[in-house]
Amino acid sequence: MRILEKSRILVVDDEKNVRTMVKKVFEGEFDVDTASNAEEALDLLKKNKYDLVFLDLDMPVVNGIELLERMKKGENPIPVIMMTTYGSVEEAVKAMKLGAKDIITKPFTQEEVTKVVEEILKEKEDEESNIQDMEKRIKEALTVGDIKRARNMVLELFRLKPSSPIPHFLYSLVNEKEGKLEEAIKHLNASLSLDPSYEPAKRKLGQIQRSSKSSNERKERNQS
Amino acid sequence: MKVILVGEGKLVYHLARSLLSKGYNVTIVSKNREFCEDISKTLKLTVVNGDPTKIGVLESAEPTKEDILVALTQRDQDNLMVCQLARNMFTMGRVFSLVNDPDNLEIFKKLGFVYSISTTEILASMVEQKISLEDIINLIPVEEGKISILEVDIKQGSPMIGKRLGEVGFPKGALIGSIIRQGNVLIPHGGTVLEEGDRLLIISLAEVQPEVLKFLKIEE
Amino acid sequence: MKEKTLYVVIAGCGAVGGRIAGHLSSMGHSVVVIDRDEKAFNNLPWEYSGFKIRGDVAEIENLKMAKLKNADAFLALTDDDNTNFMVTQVAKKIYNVPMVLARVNDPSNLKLFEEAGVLVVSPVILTVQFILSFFLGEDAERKRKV
Repeated sequence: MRILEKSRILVVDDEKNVRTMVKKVFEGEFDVDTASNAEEALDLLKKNKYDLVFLDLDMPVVNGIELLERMKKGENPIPVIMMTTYGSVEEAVKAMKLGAKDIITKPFTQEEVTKVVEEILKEKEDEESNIQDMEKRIKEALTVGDIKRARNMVLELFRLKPSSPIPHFLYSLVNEKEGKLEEAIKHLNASLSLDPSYEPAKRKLGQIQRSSKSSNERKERNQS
Repeated sequence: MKVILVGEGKLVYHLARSLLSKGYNVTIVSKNREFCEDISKTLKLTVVNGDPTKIGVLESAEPTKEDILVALTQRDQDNLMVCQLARNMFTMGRVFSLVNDPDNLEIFKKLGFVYSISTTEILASMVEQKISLEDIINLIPVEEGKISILEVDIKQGSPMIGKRLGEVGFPKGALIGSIIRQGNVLIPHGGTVLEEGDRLLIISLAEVQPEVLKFLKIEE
Repeated sequence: MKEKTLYVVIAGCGAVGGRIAGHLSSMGHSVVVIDRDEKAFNNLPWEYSGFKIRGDVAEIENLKMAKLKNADAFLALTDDDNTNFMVTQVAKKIYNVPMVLARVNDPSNLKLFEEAGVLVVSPVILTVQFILSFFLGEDAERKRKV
């Protein structure tokens, strides 16, 4: 099975031995960063893009659950694996409700932690190829003029990836095809607010703005 | 035949007292010097001061096959060790143990110590069943130390066979509550004739019990 | 060929327990140590990559927390023989751990452990044997001259 090339993992736990253990397990295969508290974790999250985060549920001061909530507010959601100690069922349920991808109870073996990471990264991979697939099909639908089908698929994509810039961008293409340029611009702006670096949206926005500018100029020229 | 109690504290003290009132010989083995000194002054029994989980100390209590041992310390691992030594090294047949942590009951039973009790467990399940303390007192009208119940089997050759209950001459204060004869329960009266194999349920005041026991021994 | 990694639970994080835990974890095994004294974990090397559970090992709950049922080996290394006896019995008879070893401080207890099928290590016996080796046998004199 193909694991993503050099995925990046962040391990957040106040116990040194846990950080050491997880780092040791994935060293070589992935890039592993560690943090011993919430502040360090948030700092690292700002600087780097992570494919997976291990989060300790029982860290003192800022509890793992709080950090999870804070992280959810950010852009592209990163899959989080919560680490709990044996028996803390309520906390675990809370974590899952908040969107933790999986839970692993301490103490865990190297096999357990490897397995859970492989599963999540594989899922991610499948998801991404799924989305690329959908993007392709939506563009195809627009090309043949099947706006209804394109719109339905975009709405499906919204459901799957609500905080991704992609659905908004694709919806703007639908709007464009329908001639609703103002709507298209709205969605492109929405896309860029989720991810200011999303190139396709930037380009499309520039394109629309230029063409509306030139059509306005043509109108003015015609009137005068 | 004697009862060896291992441990210290109120439970051991009261159990010792209770057993003594029933006519048993009691030996106490305890690490606690103060407890040993105190109890030897107030009760008539043998006291061994030392770590009961050490073979040498347990040996001083002179355990024999016929004796009964009850492990009552606050540490389950010590109770387990005592039980193990009693059974394996001293071939004692009847070994009882208190188990403080109900989770430890399993290992005691797994190792063959069937008579292991966790009072925590009993109390917890009583609370669960919501039986109030009052109900308990009504259910078991035996206040510890005041009334006692004895079961006596009439064996072959006993002088009581063929005699009428009224004739036998039980000590004053002893009541024959019922007789179990071949699986049936009889409510006795003065004219009931005793037969071999009868099981008598004798209820008596605690003060009278040693007398009753003595009487029964004579009658054997 | 990579050796199988084992899941080892250690009761007691004293001078011996701490070092064993450290060695086993650097050998790549998954290790959990249990001790009721927080300070005992100072006996672990700084690069220890296993887990720690703070609690009284005589409380079965802590053995459950350590997931003893999944263990390949269980080492009872506390300084109390009675505790070591009870926990090794639990490991063997209830959790069926394949390898169960106990430290036995008082040599007179050795028989009891061995009869119960537990591997034993006796610091007293080992020390005595080591010292006697300077007095007995062919290379005894050679040893003394070192």
